[in-house]
Amino acid sequence: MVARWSPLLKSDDRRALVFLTGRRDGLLARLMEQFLSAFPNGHLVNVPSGLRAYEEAVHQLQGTRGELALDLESARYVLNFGCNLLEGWGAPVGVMRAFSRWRDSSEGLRSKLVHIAPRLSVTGAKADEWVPLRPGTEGILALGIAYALIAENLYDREFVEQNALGFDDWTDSSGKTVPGFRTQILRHFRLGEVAGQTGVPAETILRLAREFAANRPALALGDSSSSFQPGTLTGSMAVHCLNVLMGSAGTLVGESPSSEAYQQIGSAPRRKERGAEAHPRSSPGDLWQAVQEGHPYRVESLLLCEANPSVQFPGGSQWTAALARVPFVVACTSFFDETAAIADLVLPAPHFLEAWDEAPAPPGSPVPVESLVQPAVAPQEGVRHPGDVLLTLAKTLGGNLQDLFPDADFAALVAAQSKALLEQKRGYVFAGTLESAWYRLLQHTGWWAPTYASAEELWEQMRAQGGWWDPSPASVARAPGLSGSQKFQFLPPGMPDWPSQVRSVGSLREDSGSSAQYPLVLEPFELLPLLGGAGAEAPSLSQSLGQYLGEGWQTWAEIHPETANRFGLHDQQWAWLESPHGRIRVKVRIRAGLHPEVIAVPIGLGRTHGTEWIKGRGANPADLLTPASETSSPWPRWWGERVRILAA
Amino acid sequence: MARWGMVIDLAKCTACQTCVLACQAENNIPVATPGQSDQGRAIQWIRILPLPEGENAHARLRLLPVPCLHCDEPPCIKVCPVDATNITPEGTVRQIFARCIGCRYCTTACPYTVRKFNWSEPRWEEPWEEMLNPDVSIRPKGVVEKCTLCHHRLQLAREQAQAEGRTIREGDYVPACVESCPTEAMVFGDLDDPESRVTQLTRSARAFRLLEELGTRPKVLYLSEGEWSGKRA
Repeated sequence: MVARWSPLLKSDDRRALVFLTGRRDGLLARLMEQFLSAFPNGHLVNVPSGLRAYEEAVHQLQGTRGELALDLESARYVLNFGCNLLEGWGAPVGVMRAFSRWRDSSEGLRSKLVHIAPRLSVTGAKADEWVPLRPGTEGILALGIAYALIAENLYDREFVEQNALGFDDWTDSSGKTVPGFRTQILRHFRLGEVAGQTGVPAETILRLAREFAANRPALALGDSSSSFQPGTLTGSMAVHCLNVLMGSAGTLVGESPSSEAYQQIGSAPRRKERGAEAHPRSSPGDLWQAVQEGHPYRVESLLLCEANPSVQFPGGSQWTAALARVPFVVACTSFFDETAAIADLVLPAPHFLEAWDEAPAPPGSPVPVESLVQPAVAPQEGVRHPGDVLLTLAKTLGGNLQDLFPDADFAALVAAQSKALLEQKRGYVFAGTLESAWYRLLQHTGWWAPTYASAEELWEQMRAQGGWWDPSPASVARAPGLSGSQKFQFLPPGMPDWPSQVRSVGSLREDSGSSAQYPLVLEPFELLPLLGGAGAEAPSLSQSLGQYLGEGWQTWAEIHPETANRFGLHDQQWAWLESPHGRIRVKVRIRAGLHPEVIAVPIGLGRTHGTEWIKGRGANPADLLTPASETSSPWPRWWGERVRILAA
Repeated sequence: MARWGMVIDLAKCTACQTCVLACQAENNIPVATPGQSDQGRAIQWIRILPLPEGENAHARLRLLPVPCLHCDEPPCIKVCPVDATNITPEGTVRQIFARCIGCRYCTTACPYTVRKFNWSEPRWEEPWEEMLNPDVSIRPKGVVEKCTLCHHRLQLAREQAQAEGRTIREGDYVPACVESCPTEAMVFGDLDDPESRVTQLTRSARAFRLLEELGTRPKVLYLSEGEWSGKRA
């Protein structure tokens, strides 16, 4: 690695070193970021979080770049546009606990969860109401509900007047009247038209709008996303506008103080906030272009760490084939998976039960959290944490890198987090329910009474209790998004006509062939047992994949009874599912809980490498997609692929 | 003497299957191979039962976690020819593996289909055997097994209470499924204690028993999902 990476440190070398990782935040991500900052052409690429589009929508409309925070528990009414909330979305355990609170009628009013999606997922099954709609029309329906809120004067006028710009028409410098959000919505999203496009009856749209307005605080989430499938930007903007109309933006949806401890690693500058990284990050779309066309950078070497593009990116095997052409590929992995198969060098990484590590709060967490990962079993011989690999390389490569990092191993950096947390003068060590409630109360009344006085005490308590958190739910309410002179912009300057683009989101991929040739729309979905594709390594999880259908170990395709009839298919038979980009073999499962235009296939199986439990089992729906990104955003596009199904 | 029982609140259950996995790890239940799964021979002491209903926009899917319901009138014990299954004074329907002759009358008699027959020798690949729970015996090929309400945990809790010179308190003894539930949808305790939370929940208007008309009187009860009314409870 030293021999291959040393030349890339020279300022006149235009070849790039790229790290592709599933770590978006936390110590290891920062270490990678700062390591790459020493290279003139170093690029960090993340597997995007499923909340990435929603977060970007909030940033676009609120003009800020902070960390997305959602106060789900306080919501009394939730319009969920296709997010698989109970299947690994956001902070999974936090979301489940919020769901439990919504259903806790002992505290008064039960909250309502409405799941709006083409497929009756587990989230849809557990929701109070499932509203099926045509695939790809979630954003249109959101603006249809906005129409009803505006037309019936149900929105929070005071909030909008005080905190938002671009709602009413205005006159530009040339004296021309520019239509505001209200005019655009009232003109283009009449209920009859929206009902025609989405397949949701106008009376249902009107009822949802009235319920949404009458049960505050109300929250709108979406559009369609899961643990690593971001939705669309314009669809998410349409959904977030509902939060602004209800006055929930800045309270239920806001930005929290970062969960990261901002520990300074060596002489590298501290990151101030997410979105203003010490080193700018590249996107999967850029990486795909780079390996295909040598533009915007030419990839000389690639490090894969906790990322498996064959499962986590549309295009699946096309990604691994393309990345295999990179001159020098290194894989840090705990299993001999697809990344190891294409690597020139495999560095066995410890399992999380074998190593010291740190886990920051997942995206959308309402409170800052620093969880401590501690070794529970002795590591297998020959494994080394990717952080230690980088620290050793920094010393050996010399130059700027040697100055950048202290003489320490990764476990020492994890332990040093306690010092950085102490400096923040806030938060508490994890505690039981009663103590946590007490800490929340203290926080609300302006007190901070930590159980530790020094970094050493904090470290010992974190080891005993598992981590640190800032219990103040008010961190969402205090969000800077709408404070001071900053205002919510319905029509941000960079995207003044985005509502009209929402209409085009509903149209499906133009490169997917005609609807006559490929009459169905593919809905790849994630299952909780295979969270992020990683769970397939655990056989007990593969066994329990689709208990709602009695399925496991293999890939099935869910299809509506009418559609099955139309194609002469019967339940449990094998079939070929084809797109213009590939085909996979699937077991047909007929389900009533599905829009007839949709065919739904779980992601996570169809692995070509791995243990005997997963290798060669099932099929990978990512192979039916193209690796190209959505035109208007840099993250992978899972939605909208046209397919056909034929008996095998 | 306590009479142990459980309430599962379906409004709070997210069908996440954490209970299924916790039970599997706690009770040394081997993973079935894909071939065994295809033959319907996978063993789970608690499973998620899907109940689909309706069509198109009215389609619904109800998901029920179903362990052994530990009936007060269990049909399974009446058909066992060798007394390999019986009911303890505390109401737990137990299975005595050493006595079981594998006739499977009990699996047929159980209306909830929660009893599982071991069609093959249990197998754990190296190093998985290191994670086996030493408090739970491994069942051999040819016997029937099922949920024991983590009876070994009761023994440990009882020993602990005796050492401290007291009786078992609420919360001392909790099965693995209940302990692991992230939404606290499962509540366990003494059904004969009028003050216990589980007893109070059984008095809810939402409480029901599975196939109540059979007269098996299960000690695992459910709270129905209920409906959103928009009004204060």
